[in-house]
Amino acid sequence: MMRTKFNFIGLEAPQKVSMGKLKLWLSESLGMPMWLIAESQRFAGSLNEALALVLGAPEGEVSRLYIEQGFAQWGGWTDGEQRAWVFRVLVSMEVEDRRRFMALLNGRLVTGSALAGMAGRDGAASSGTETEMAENIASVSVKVRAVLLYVRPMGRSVLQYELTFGLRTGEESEVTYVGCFKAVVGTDEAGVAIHGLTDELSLLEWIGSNLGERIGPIRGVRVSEVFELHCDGVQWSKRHKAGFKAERVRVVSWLRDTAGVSGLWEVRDCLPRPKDFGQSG
Amino acid sequence: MALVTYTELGFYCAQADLYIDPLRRVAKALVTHAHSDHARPGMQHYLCHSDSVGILKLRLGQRISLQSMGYGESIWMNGVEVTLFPAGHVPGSAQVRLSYRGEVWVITGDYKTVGDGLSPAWVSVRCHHLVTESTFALPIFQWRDQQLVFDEINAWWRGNAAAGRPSVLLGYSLGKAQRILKYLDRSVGEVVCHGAISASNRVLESAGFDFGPWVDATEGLSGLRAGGRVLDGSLVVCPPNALRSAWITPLGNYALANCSGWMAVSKSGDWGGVDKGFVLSDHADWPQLLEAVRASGAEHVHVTHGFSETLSRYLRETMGLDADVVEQAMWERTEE
Repeated sequence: MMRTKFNFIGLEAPQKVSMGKLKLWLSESLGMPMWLIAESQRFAGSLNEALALVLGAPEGEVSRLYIEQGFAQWGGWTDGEQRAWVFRVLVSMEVEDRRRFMALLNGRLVTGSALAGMAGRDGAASSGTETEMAENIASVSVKVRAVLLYVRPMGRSVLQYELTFGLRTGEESEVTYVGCFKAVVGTDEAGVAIHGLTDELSLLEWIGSNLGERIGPIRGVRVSEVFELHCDGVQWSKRHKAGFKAERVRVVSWLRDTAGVSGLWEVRDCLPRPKDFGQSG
Repeated sequence: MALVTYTELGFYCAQADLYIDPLRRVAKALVTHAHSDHARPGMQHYLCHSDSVGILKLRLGQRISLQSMGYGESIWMNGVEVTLFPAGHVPGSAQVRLSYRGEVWVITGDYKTVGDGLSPAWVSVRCHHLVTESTFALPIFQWRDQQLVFDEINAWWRGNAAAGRPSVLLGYSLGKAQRILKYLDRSVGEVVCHGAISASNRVLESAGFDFGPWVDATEGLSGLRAGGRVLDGSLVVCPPNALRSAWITPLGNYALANCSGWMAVSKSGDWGGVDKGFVLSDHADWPQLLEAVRASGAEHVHVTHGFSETLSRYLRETMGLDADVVEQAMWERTEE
């Protein structure tokens, strides 16, 4: 029997664990050479997907309580203890849950706060209703580093732009960006920045100085600026080129650092599989 | 000179003047199984397992010159003992053991080590040199117990039937299709087979294989409808290329799924245009490949057909074996 999907709602990782560290931990735990994981990553399309698959069929079982307790004790553990704990949790999960758990550890999956505290799968304590709610979760919140691609001037009496941000496709040597998320920045009629970004006025000034080619109602800008975005309600969408859409996007900070733009697959890794998708191993 | 060499025509045993799964016309061709990337037309004489005879004649013509043998039986060719052993890939699939003056080679052909209840189960054969395929030689490929997969398939079919929607399942016409047929839950509805699959079914049934009742759609699905069959709750098994023809049109709004090992890698939700992917393969996954190499006791391993660089490097660096890559001159996507 396939296992019940794990309920991640309300869980928050105590400390970010990079994908590189997860790769090293699983390489050591499985006795699998790093180059072999890299080969697997190349074919699977993402490191997250590769790591979720190389663990094979689920073995053993851990409860939600076990994970909560692990997170609580995390800071007091050695690197080896953290590695052993993460390995045990991942091995016990189905492939999809592994993908999401790694995204949670990696800080890319932000579990919903609205349902925070709801009990999840926890051995006999789990109820059918709770399981059903967990199954029905179709959207997640994610944090990404995205590059500004286009702007669309909005309104006449206020200075506002709808910004389109892109994420990376492909490997570093052949970087292309696909527009994924839209957010608005600008001022009110009194010239006051109103969207909560600390350097919103500077950003408006930068946009004004770097407007590029006009493409219908939108304008290209110099592709150089990277932002941290907090995106809520991210869900699969066949109508969007990226394969997903977000209901709300907030620009958290202007990083002024072009390195480390998130990959499209990093968001996809966080999304639950659509109900009609199968995953047999 | 090695007992077996790789030539531009394929694997060749000069002592026996015998090619294994040759790429082009040769005098004597030993065919490991009847898939088209192993059994090619035009050979002067074919040698194969007895369960492959019917399919080979179906695919290559009734008039081919063909000799067959059973598993464990040996024939001698200029001092070389040639023996076939089950490969567990599809009905009639065989590993080839060649022995000459104490040197033993095994050429696996395509294989899986886990039994599927349809094809005779793979057996390990001790040898000095092992030639192994590597179609799924990455650790991301690790198959689940097939019963779990068939439970999923039957549940998917049941759901579609309850909604009055036909189900279409893609699978190659030899091996995969019959494996699927064997485990479908007939209480859900009728199972309908594309003509290419029906033809293979009849040949294999006449050889003693049994995979349950099925309806022949060689004359077309519209003919079945006209004959009064209600296809809405049926499951139609067809090869992938049937989707590119008008054959499928009478089904209307069908649900589509693919059964393949490649479905293990979703590419983040991309199943190649089908509604659902079931991970089911007739090839060895990563653990099975390693198991087969260990069980053979071979000191020299020659890897072909797939992720050969990856597997050979792993065997060298991690298992300490003498492993190399044998490039398939005309690599083709393997039938499953």
